[in-house]
Amino acid sequence: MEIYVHIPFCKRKCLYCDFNSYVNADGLIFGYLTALNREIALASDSFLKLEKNKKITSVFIGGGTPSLLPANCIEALIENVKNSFTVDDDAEITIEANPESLTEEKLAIYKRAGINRLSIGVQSLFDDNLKAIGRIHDAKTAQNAVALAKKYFDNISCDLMIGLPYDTKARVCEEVEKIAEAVDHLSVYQLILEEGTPLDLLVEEGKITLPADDEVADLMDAAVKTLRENGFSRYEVSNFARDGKISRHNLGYWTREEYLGFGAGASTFLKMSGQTPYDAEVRYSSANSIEKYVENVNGAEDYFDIPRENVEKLDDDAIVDERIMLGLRTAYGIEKKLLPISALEKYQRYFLIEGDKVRLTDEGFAIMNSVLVDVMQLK
Amino acid sequence: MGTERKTVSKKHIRNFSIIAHIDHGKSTLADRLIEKTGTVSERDMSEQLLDNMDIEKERGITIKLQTCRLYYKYKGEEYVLNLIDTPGHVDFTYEVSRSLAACEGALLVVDATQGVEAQTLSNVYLALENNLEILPVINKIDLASADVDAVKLEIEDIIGLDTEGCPLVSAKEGIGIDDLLGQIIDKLPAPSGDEDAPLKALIFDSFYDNYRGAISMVRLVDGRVKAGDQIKMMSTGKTFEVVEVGYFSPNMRAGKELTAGEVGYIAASIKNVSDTAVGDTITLALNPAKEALPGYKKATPMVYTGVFPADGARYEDLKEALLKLQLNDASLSFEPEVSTALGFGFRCGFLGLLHMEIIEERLEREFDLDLITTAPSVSYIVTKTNGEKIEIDNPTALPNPSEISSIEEPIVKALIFTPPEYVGAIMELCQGKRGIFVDMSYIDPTRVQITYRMPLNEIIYDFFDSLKSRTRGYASLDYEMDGFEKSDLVRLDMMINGDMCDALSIIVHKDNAYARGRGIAEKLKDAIPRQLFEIPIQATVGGKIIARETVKALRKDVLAKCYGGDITRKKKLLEKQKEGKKRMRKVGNVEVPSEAFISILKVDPTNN
Repeated sequence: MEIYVHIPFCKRKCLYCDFNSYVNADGLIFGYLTALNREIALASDSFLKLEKNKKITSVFIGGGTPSLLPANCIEALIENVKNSFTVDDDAEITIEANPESLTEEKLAIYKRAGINRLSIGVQSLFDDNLKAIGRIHDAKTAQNAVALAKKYFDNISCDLMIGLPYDTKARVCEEVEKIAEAVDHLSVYQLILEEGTPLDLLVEEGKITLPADDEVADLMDAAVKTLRENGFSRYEVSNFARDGKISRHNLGYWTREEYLGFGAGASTFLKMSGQTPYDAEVRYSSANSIEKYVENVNGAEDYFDIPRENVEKLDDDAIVDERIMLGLRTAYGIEKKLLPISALEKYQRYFLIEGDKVRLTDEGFAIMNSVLVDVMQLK
Repeated sequence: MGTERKTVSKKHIRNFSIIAHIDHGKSTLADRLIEKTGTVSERDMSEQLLDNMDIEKERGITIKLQTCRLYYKYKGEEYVLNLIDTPGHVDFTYEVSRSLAACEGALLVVDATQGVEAQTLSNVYLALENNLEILPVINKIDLASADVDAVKLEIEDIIGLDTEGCPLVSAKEGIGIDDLLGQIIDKLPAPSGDEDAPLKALIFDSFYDNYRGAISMVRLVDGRVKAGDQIKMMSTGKTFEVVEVGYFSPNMRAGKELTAGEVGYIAASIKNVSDTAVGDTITLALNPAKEALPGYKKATPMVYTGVFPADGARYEDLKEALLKLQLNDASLSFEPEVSTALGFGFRCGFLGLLHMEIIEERLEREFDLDLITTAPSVSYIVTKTNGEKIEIDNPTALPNPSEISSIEEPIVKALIFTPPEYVGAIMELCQGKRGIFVDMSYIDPTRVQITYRMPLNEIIYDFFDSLKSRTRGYASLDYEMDGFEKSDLVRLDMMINGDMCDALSIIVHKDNAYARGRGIAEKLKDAIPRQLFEIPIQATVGGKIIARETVKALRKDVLAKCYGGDITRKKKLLEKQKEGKKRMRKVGNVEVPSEAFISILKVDPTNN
């Protein structure tokens, strides 16, 4: 079982962001952390009762910007998780950090707290791109942060976005190479224009021009090629690692490991049919709003009394759909028998069949959704 | 129900219509007349009472004709004024002629800031054909840009009506309304007719009422009719018992009896609107009239289009909706049509483009239907090589070129009024649309009348929009049918990934085929989303490819980021994508969105 903890605070909202994060909400931090600890404690009570031996293999503190919080708060949080659950000795414990908020002092405390993996939001190594998407840091700050982090951690991942306004193939190769030189794990995400974000508006008004889809496809191809040349393997559609530095936590999502999500908007996935009040495999999330989340948690006496949103009980068809959707994201693919023979034939150009397994090629990863909507039942 | 009044003598009745160009204030004037005569209290007035439909109120036009009985005391005597509202648009000429036939007089409303327009003229001619007395009324005199003298001169020059002492009004401000009411009584003739002769009532409109069945709007020429009478429809011989007679004021009010010269309604529990055919004469079964009134020539559809439900499962709903609309709009015709791309739908015939737009809008709005319509077409007469003549209104029905000896297309006489500075642009436009110049004359130094003979096929394409954009909205257009002529026409087909899409076929002049084919191919290229394979789009004529575009294969369709394990959100995005795919039409193995079929109907006016 995995644990995800959401820290929904940011110093500034990036122009492309439609995720659950809040700026100028410092006044809520203390109350939020208190509720977070209460939710963890309530969960601990319930799950210790239910599954005494359930071991935690990974803890991920994501955001928002977790590195914005005082490091001792993070330390206390991890302490609380460790006291509440049976966390494996070799569990992967990751924190997300933004370059501008990383200090040597924080890094030292993270290490002391047992954190063993750092995920740094670099996004780009070009200042014009960083500025255009509203990042708070510049390229130099990002590179310095990575260098600093390396003094304390050997398992570091960087996030990189492609499809940014000033991206070119040469630039993407350059930044990928620089990052590959420094760290062993890289997530490459294509910029997605979410409706209603400031970036969406700027693009609509013609103030910012994003590369066309074909160009983005070319950029991704270039990034993948460069990473392979640098010894990385693509273990998931947007995740690359070298020397076994695959993220256990991320992979858990794709292999349908159970996880408990703590915090505003955090998602949980539980399989224990019969032991939860849901009587089925279930996914749900907490209220997005910080205030609402705090109110919900403080008002509950039992973990399963906390009001949840997007509750989705999974029937057999939905489980098959998920195995297809999630499994095809990975380099390990899925069991061939999950797909009808007609689908295997129709998309043979995008599939690699190895024994009783089938997975997507790089070309297939690029158009994955088109294949998925066709092969999944989706109700 | 209103208070019942005693029968009025004919000399105290005036039956009149208001004819005007759109926007010249006809409906506002009608409202003012209703208000001034106390028919509706000011408190109950909602703007433009006679325009019942939402679309009418929104667009400021009248589609269905309405009637209203007004009472007015003049020089110590009480008069009944029957106002019969008429639609102002060229498409509805047929409706206009129906209402005019029920009147002795007509008010010609002309906007003091605009002058006489093309459509005003055609309605005036209709009124003259019906031997109506026409009273010119100059409206909007309160506006700063009003030029009453110039407009008076125009009316005298173009139409030849005397404007000496004609009513000058502002319907909006209520100025001159009493004078107008007096002149209606003084200048328009009272109806003639014999109350004691056998009943002759002309049906000038009918509509369906859920409680009373099909109701006939009638003008009594001779005789009288009351509840309990057995009436006979002279065209069919069918008889019905009258349940109720009455008039509109402006809502339905039952009355004791209708007599010669009056306008009102007859309800007789008639189940089918087809039994109350417009133009038919109603008489009494016991004492029938010897011969029927002249009636009307039937309205013939001029524009045809395929109408399909965007959701194929709603075919039955579409059928129901069309049947319901047809109850009140006999000029709408339709028959089932099957398209390989769009499935089951209907081939609908309309009086014109506005009529088409309004029906489509009513289907979508009143019946909550999403529609896909194909490119409008006209009716062609095809002579086959074996001598057989067929009439087709659907491009897919066109025989093989080898079987065609000749094709004739409908021609119209187009009348355009414009300020002189746009004459060049309009002539260029008409020439480009295969127009043949007929005549041009100056109405006054600021206005020109241009006449062209043009194929209707070109008018229904994008002529009106182009005219408006080239003249910044200043030109007005009217057209009338002017026979059929042989023409060098071909069918332009569109192939998507090698498969012909029947819903996209159109009939065009050979010389225009290339430009149209290229235009449509370009539109389709933009409207069809990229798919996992390359999609050639070809325009062909008689199997020969004349234009080609390509939708490139999709290379990117992935949502990579997964925030904090939110799998549910990801699934929802995929579900949405699948929903979108479901709404698409299949042409061969290509998914074509509904918008693609609609996009080809819209032509960028700067393109031509």
